[in-house]
Amino acid sequence: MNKILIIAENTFKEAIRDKILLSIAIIGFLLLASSRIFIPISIGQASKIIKDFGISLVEIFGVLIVIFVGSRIFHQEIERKTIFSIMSKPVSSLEFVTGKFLGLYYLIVVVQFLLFAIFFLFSKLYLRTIDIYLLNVLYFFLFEFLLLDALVIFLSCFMSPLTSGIVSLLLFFIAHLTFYLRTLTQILKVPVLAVMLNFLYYVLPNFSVFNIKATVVYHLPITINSYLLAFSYSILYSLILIIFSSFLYSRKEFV
Amino acid sequence: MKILDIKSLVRIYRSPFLMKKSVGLDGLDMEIEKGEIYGLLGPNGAGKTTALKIITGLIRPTSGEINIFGQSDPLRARDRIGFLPENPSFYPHLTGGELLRFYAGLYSKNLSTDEINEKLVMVGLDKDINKRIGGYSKGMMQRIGVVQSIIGDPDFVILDEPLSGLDPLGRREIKDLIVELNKKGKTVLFSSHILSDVEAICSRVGIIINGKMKQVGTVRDIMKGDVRYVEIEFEGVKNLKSFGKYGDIKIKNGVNYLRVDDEKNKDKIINEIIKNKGKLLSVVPVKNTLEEHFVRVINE
Repeated sequence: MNKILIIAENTFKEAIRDKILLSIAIIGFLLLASSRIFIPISIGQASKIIKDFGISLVEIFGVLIVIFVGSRIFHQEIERKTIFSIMSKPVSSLEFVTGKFLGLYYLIVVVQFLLFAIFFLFSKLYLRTIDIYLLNVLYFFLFEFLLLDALVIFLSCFMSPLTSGIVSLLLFFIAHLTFYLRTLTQILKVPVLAVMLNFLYYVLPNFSVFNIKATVVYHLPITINSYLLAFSYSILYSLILIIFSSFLYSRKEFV
Repeated sequence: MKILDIKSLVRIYRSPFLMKKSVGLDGLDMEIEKGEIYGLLGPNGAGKTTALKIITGLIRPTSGEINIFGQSDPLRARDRIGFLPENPSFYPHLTGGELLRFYAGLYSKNLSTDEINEKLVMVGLDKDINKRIGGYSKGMMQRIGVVQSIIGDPDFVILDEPLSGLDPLGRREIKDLIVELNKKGKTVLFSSHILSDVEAICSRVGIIINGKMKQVGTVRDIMKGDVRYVEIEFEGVKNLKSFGKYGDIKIKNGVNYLRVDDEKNKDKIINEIIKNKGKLLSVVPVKNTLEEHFVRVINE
């Protein structure tokens, strides 16, 4: 466990000192600050629009950072040749992959808290109030990004950074629509297609379990089942992906 | 006691798209005894790095046997191995101290700042403990690379070209460090192009060419019978004509220098000097350097 944490800490340090990450964070800050432009054009809906805009921005930047950092996470080690001095030491593939996964997650947790803090700061400035109920979104985001992190790590084990980045982004969007695969099965009524769509429904990640943005913005109640489902689904799916990833990584050679 | 035993090791590389084959190792045999300093020599592309990467578990052999510390899978012996890759590169965002602490952690060791400083003193980097690796020169990178390879206190230290990129002082420090490690009971395997350094510190040398071990032995064994000529120095002989048949004679300040190409004539010449009432000053067999021997083996 100690080795995993050491690798995670190093991954976090490496990412946090990356200038590109700083640029993304600055752009995020500026965009959150720019939400003020909605106040004069929102005809009494300023609060809702600023919340919607802010939460969406926090999510988009979270996704960008996970995909951008995650898709390069293994490739960078090979490109820089740092992998030789790590994998020649008593470190298993499982420890290495899990360390990288947790390091990236550590980064995203810090970035999410930071972006939420900035979002609340501008909410206070522009709306003169802070809506604590919005913090529920953070809970769901954190489990959504845990799964996205595992997904990017898995794809990066056998894809180039560009391919894994693009595929991860596509999967992120598809994963938000997985729910509709079920509906599609019922509408199409073609048995072969139904089996295929059903298979995809169960295999592809389903990110709709993390989507409570509208519920939170309109202050609707969130059931305890939603919290538990988001937690257990994310943990279980991520665990499976990390086990597969470490198996794939153990087959790798470092020529 | 053997700590490494390699038999008929083959490694074939295939290009990803064309599946074009290239042979990295072609039936390599190699044995290393505990407590040795073993120098692995070979021209570029001979298979030195491939062999070292297989020993450290970074790549797998296509066929053949490897046994390291009694394990047939090198991955299971990694806690007893320290490795310096060729042209090492490390995380630029870490300082020298942070880097060593990170690598020590991978051996489940928690080193104090004093212990890390102690390691850095060995290669003259103690003043750079808080400097980012990104700002290190090639020589500094090589030095910290050597330190990271011994940070886990391994029994077997494998160094791929540890002396490249170093100035004469740096080379001296690393050579001294290798000898020092050996004195502490560590077995060292290193590849190098700087043959004079190999000659100076290795107890055994292996010459690898085209993926095969061409010659193995102590430097002395390898160079045995490798006498280029014998130089005989003598004085007091008036008639030098009879010595002309043995080789070239040069006279300098009244001293005769006879260069004899055939070592077998040495005793005859000595007898003749004594018979002519001359005085024998010295008999020096001039041997090939390891470099000359190495070139000869490659050309063969």
